[in-house]
Amino acid sequence: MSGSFRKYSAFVTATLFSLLLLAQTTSAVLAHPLGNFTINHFSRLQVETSGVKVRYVVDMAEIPTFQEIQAADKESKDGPPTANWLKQYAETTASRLAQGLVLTVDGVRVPLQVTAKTISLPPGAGNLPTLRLECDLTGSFAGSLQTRRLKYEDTNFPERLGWREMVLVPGSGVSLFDSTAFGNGLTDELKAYPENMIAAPLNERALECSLSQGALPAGAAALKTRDGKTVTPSRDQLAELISVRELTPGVMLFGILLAFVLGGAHALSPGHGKTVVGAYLVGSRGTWKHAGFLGLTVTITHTAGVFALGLITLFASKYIVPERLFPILSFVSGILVLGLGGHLFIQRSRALAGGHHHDHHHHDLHHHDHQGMESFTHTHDGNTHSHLPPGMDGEKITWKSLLALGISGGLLPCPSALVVLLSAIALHRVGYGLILVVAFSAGLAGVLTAIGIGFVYAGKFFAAKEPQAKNGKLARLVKVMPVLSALVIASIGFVMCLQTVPDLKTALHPPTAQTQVVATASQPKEEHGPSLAGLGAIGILGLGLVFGLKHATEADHVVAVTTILTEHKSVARAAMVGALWGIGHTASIFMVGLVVLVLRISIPENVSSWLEFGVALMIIGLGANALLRALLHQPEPHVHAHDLETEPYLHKHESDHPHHHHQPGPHLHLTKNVGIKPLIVGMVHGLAGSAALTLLVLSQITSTILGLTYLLVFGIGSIGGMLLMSGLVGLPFVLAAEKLDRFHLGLRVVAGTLSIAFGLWYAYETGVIF
Amino acid sequence: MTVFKKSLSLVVFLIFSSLLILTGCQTPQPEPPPKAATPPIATPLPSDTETTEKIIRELEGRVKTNPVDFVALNKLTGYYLQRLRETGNFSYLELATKTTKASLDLLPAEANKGGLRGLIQVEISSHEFASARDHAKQLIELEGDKNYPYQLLGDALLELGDYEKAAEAFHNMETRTTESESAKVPLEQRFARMAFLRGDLETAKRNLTVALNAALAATPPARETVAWTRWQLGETAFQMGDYKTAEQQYRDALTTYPDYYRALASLGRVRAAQGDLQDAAAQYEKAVRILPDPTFVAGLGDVYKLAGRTKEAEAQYALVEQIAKLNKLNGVLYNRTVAKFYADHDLKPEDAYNQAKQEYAARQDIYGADVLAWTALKAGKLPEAQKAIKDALRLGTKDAMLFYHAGMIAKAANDSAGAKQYLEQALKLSPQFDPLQATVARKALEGN
Repeated sequence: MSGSFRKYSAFVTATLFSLLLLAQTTSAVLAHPLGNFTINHFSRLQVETSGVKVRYVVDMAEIPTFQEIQAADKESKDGPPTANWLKQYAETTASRLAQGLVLTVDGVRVPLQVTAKTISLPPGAGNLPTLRLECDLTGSFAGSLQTRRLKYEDTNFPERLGWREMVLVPGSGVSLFDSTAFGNGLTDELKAYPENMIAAPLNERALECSLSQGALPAGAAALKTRDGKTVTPSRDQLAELISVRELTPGVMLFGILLAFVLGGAHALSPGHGKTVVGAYLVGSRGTWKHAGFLGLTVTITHTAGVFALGLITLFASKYIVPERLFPILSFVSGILVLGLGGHLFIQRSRALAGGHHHDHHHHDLHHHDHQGMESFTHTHDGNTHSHLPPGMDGEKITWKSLLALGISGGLLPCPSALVVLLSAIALHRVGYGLILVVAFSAGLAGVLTAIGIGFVYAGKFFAAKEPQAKNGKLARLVKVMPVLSALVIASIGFVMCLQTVPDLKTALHPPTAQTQVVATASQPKEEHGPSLAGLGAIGILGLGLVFGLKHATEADHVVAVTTILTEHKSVARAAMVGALWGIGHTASIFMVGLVVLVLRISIPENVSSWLEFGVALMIIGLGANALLRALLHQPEPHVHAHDLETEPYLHKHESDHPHHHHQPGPHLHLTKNVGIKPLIVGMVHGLAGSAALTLLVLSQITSTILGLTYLLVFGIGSIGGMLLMSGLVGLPFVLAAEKLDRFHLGLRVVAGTLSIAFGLWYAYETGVIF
Repeated sequence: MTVFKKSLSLVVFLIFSSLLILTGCQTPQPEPPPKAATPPIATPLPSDTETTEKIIRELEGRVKTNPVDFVALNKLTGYYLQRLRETGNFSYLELATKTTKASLDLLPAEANKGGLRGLIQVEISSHEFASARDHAKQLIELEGDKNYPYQLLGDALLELGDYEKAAEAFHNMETRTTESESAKVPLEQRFARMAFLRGDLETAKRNLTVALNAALAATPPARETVAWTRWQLGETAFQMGDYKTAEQQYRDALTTYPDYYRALASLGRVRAAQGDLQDAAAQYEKAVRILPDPTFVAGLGDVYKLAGRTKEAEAQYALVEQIAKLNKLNGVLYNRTVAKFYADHDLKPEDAYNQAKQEYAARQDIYGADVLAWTALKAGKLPEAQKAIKDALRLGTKDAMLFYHAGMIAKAANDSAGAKQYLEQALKLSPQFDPLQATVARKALEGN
């Protein structure tokens, strides 16, 4: 969970990275970053209770690659190696290298089996091939409750120059300590060497560590990262709940509560269909019941998903690899959402064009009064069908679509819930683990339901006031709203599907047991995130737009914008806030991008974490400000919801805030319309995010223009995304403010408090303090 | 990318690629050991790699927490260059370039002599001899009373072929050197080099022996310095045709420092000279595994060829060409090893000649002149070859390879008396100076 917000930089980086690598193939002459002679090694050991998973990567520069090809194939030294040759080479080399990896546990050699291997020939200097062999190996040993000593040595190519890196990762329920190795790597599996740093090549040829099940023994030195931070078995609060040493009723109760809260927090992280839920319910005038049903579906689906995947992991992992199921599940939920959105769009567009929607206005109101008591099967327009009370404009919420929505929200099990279940089984606390998973799922569903209810409320309000609306624009908006929401749903579904495609490819064609030839000499150096190899410049820029759209919905962005939104009471203003944020964000990313790309300057890592820390402080500040204003009942610069035109006009406050007359004089509205606050906030976000550009320089960009264009398109996408998002998020505030001052106050208080809490958590995450 | 534009071939050269930084303690010696004519028996010296790497990590940590710590940066430059000498890994040269640049960016040379010193060392290692010379002059203005600026100046001048001024610089270095064993090491090494170039092999040997004893007297002795000096002693013996001593010196160097790649390659060459092609190939193979330096690779190819392993020889030659291609791509200016390889194997004569010519324009040392002469001959430019070989022989250096080239050029010019004299001189000095070329020389002499 904690990682999802960090996707930000990794995400931007990955995208840009692949983009630049593409550019590199066309123009650049790039030597291997560590010299033409080197053979570089990377090992990552994930230590489980009764086995070790090793990720082993060998990256050969041009000269050793040439030598290897020469040595392995003396017959035909001309021309590039064929895919068949590569496959053969990978086959023999992987098993040979596996022999050179010496793993012992308490002095007993643990043989390592190669489970997967991937070979590629990324082009190096002058398009001469370099060779990259990635192997996954496993070794197993009998489980034991005793503390054991593990040793690992890489004896391959001992004489050769090169970077040698080792990383230790504790598996679930395992503590690693008294280690000679570190818990994190520096090169992303030899994909990005720290060229701009002053750091001699790593020379980690062997490691030793102790392992035990459960918590760290007293007096042991915990595994550390390279900057001296302690590595917790998995920085997963939920997973930690299961591994507490003493299980008292108090601890259990606390655990269940915490699991519930964590589930709720998880629902707020990106990718849980909040927007979908909101858009759906707003567009369709759903009811409390719908929201409740949705929550229930999500809980059941999610719990069932965790259980099913847990069982697969336990008993069928030989046949089905759980990691490979994730992208498939994401894809399925994406398809579900896409289908739902498309279906609704067609239905609602038809309804909009159909012209008999006016008949239902009264009808609609009527239903609102009786929803709670109504049977779901009833006669409507002479036909009997099973459905929820009809929405407006003739379109209806069906159980089927609601179910689809709920399933799509819960289908993808949260990995930390899965870890809890597996640890629970490992620690013989199955019952407790199950309860935790259910509590977690319930928390998840609770928040989704709450969001849904919020939207239902807002929607109802909207609909209720609609007949009285004198403003024609609002009425038109109300009519178009369902179609718009259907569009939003469909596009989110599309993005969801699109994002899973690269993962899906590997999921459907697992490299297990047999060699996968990934790239030939003419292809880009690596596949980082979605493969851009096949896309032209237009395709890349298109992807930039999509990523930009998605980028706007990152949690820290939404939180910051929401607090500003609480001050505005118009959908247009809200959207304006979003757009301004996007412009600020784009401006600073672009500016920094320009500096980085043109001057080839990188932003040091500590600076970037300070910048992120600054974002956290800003979010806290915004929250505090919103909270203070709400509590002091200060009038905000605002406009009326019916005032969708932006021309300035003078008015008195009484009309808007009958109970508070803090600012009796007339004032000009436009000057305070939206303010520059969102612009500044956006710029700060952009500045913090620009740290991700550091890697850009590391990867030796060659096409500055393409890089900048990409940034620009990405920025435009993020403006659009935030515009949509803020319009949608701002809706409840707008609607609540219109009639119910107290409710609006409540919303503002909640938004302010949440913002402060999020800011604190985010500050902690940056790791600058504590 | 600029990272590896430096010549891959710079590692193993007879020339002074090695700058010796005195890391040993300056403990006064109560009784200086006798200046033995024969070098002392070799013992393995403890590896200081782990300590050095640890120090490097600590210094890197200092720089990370305090990026303006120029003292740490200067120290890092020294350690990186030490690792470069020990491993031949150009990552270290790149790192040293970064640290020295960072240091001088923080504090200008006037106030940062350590930074300037590092810069000169980096420039010499990167074969930027002209700017190394200029910076050394700048350092002399700042620290004219110390010996080391003259050492750096002399090294740069030596590589530029300005031998008179180099000798003068080393003289200045000597007058500013206090009497101590550790100070003798760099001084005697340089005297040995000058003596060798002037054809006084006995003096060179004596100087190197003194340097070796002085290096061993340090507590603890610097492993690479000891191994390097022994290797140089071996090279001198090889030039004198004393293959047995040469072999012993190389083996001693390897005892001191196992897998010392310079000694391994030289051992391969001397084993070939002694006729043990199998062992020669084994030694070369090991050296190439550690560092595929084009000289080693070409040497291995020659040994294979001599042993009738044609296919394997071809593979090694293809590898040399591959390295040459990379050098070219990386913008390497000094490519004499590859140029000589082409000329030796009658490949790409025009390419080789152009490379040699380009390099000689930048630095007029005798070995640059030799490669120019040799490649000019192969490219059919006889007058230029004659002119260049004259330059190459101007110091009276006793090197069989120079004599062989001179003989072949004389033969091409129909000067059979000159050809006979030079070829005989070459074969007398070192009958098996090169696995393939010695045979060519012999045939040329017979057919003369």
